[in-house]
Amino acid sequence: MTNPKLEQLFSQVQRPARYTGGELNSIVKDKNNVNLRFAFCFPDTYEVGMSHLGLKILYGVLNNELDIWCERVFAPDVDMENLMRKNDVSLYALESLDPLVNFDIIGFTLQYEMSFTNVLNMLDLAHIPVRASERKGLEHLVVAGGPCTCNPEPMCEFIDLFMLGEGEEHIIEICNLYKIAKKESWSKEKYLIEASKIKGIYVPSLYEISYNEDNTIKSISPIQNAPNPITKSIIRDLNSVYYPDKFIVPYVDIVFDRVMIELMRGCIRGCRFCQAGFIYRPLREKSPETLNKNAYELCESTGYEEISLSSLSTSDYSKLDSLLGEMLEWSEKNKVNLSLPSLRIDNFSPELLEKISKIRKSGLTFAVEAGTQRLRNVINKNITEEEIFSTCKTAFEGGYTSVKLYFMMGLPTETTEDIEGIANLAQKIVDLFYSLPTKPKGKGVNVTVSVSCFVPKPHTPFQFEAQDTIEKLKEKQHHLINSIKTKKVTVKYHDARTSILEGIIARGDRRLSEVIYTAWKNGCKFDAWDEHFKYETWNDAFKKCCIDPAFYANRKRNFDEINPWDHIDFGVSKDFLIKEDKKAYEAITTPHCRKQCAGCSANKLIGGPCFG
Amino acid sequence: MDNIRVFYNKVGRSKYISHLDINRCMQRALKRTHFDIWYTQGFNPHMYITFPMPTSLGFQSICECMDFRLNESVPFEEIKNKLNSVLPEGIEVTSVSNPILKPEKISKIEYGIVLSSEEVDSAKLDADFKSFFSKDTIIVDKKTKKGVTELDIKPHIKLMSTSDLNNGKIKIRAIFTAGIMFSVNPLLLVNAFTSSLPYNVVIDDIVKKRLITDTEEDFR
Repeated sequence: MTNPKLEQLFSQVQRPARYTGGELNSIVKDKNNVNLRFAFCFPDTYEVGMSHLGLKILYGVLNNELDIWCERVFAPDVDMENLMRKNDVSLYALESLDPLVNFDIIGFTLQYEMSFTNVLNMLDLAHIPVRASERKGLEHLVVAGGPCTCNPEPMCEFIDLFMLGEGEEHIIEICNLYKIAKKESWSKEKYLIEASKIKGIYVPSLYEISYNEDNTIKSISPIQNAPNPITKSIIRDLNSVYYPDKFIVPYVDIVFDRVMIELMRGCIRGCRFCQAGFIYRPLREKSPETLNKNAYELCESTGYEEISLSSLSTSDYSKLDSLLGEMLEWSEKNKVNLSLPSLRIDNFSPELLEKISKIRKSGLTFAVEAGTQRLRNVINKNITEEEIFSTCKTAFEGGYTSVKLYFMMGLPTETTEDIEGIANLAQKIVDLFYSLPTKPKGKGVNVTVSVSCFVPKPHTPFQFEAQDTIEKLKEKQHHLINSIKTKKVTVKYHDARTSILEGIIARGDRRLSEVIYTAWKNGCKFDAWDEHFKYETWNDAFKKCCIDPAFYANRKRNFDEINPWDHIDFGVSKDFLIKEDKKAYEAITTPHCRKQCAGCSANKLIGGPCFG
Repeated sequence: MDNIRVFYNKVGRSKYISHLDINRCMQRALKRTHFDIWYTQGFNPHMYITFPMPTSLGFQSICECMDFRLNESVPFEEIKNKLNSVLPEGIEVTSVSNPILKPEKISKIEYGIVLSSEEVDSAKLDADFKSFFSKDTIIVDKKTKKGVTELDIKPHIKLMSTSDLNNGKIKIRAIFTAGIMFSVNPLLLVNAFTSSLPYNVVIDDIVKKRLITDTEEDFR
């Protein structure tokens, strides 16, 4: 593939290999021999997007179909975007270098709210109208999937249809339907009505929303017999579903540059703040045999030197020991490292530590989430102080000298005492280190405390909760820093302004489309990047659209209020979420799913009990 | 242990891969071959690969060179074929042998440079380049670790030929001083030339063609 006009740009930008394509295992087909061209768009830079496992899976699923060609598109970095606009170069896909207007379906993955303005910017760079209503025909249908579709309402103005849940099956169904529609010259409206009949497909234009005088939602009404609720798609058997045996191997260093295998989907824990813990329910595991095969094939086809065992909580994988045993048999010999992200502090055994430390020592990170036991019970993070200390002891005795702890602030019912609890806990870990006779000799300890701001998310028990204001969050951050008495503890915290905006959009309704549009028009993009985030511009956009951000972020919602996402069914019932929110206020924990079924009702998706 | 020297092409889109990225790309390719590569024996073992004279980002090359070590003995032809079966688009091994000369022996590199301009025809561009190069000195600013210094690059360039390709482009073949201690990048010449002109010039292509030793041999 060559394109002289593009080549002139490549020589002027940072890390041009992000824009050239041609990587190992990228798939090039003859465009004249395919019936459907799919542009898989990740609304962030190449380095971020190429790290995303979902892209790798769906790229493989789509390209497995002989008559579909799926290509990758990423948001160009600012230097490249400026050159593209100056030289009138339209956004293009990396495999063919063809502009997006040549594609049938433009698919975005919505991984985080702060990437929404990039969706608009990419459509604009592709010379495709950003508003769904301005795209009249069937050509370049804009679709979107990913976790943010559990409340896609703020993006309804821009996206023609959303794919809810796991995409391996329904992405093929919407493509097959599109092929028929194209052949029979359907109108876009007809296609969307037919597509809405596919499980997990949400066509926002088929729902009318009315509002009360207090701005809350009065009703959500489907038209044209569109389903209500719309239930997410799910893969019942992870052992038989497609998994890639090849990953594209990028030239530039990307964020997660390694083989990834997917141990399981879902999580048994039910931490009340965690959206992923609810929207991917119920838990389904892959067998160690399948995983070992996935890992081996991928190492063979990529030459990667590291395998990440990914899941929401890797130490909850029930057959971790046998999986590690099988993999270590060949990985050590082939000089391939295993990495285990997302370990839980309460089941991190010395044996496990030994297996990991056979490979390579890096830092240890634990998500403690809250500073006191009371607050940990409120959020249902079922770990105790003793468990934290015994894990740190194991780690220190195993030669580790630095530990990183994740916390949140702004959690429901939080008090000053809980904030001070973070500092106390960190101090106790420092003290523990120096009290150990077996501590690593001649080395100091470093405890990093990383504190993010709590963002209430849809489909979690805390979806009803008010988010702390920026002032309140800043006050708490100050208080924490003043409570730290030692240099052995390093505190890192997030920009509260970003978290508030994330909270607004996460629980937003359709009226926010206009705010997103206005913010983007005025220059907002890459909002997740501190150096690009324009808080004032967002504030102006809210004012211009006469929308009060506090209505979305800082207001406690009644249980009987209709939420913007109440017609979207990700398996867990609203009644269960209400029950869990009430239990939070009494600081009563809920045991994890293997111990006892909590009755979240997500098992209806697989038609029976989750275990056994 | 067998020392191996591989010569390869880096053409087409692969010219935009930086040296750091090529290093990683080659390690992964070698891993995919399953040859028994020699790893460093330290605390953090890694493949021992060196590149005697890596190419700047954006240049094509038909004389890239990489050295590594094998713990086993493999026929050169097999190394070449196996590597080519796992390398990405644009990177192709052309020859495999044991290294004969040390990388320090490299003292010059031949480049082919193709230029064009939308504002003048190639005959004019060719004439302008010839007159530019006939000057006694070509003073440029060269960036070094110590800062920017002035340098006369004329003694470091041996012009082989310039030709009008008759498609609006001209081609310059020249040999530039190169080595571990001191190199003259062909862009120094191109930029000095283009900035002396009243019109805009486009660099269509720069190809690294040949590594030459201090005794005027091909580097092997």
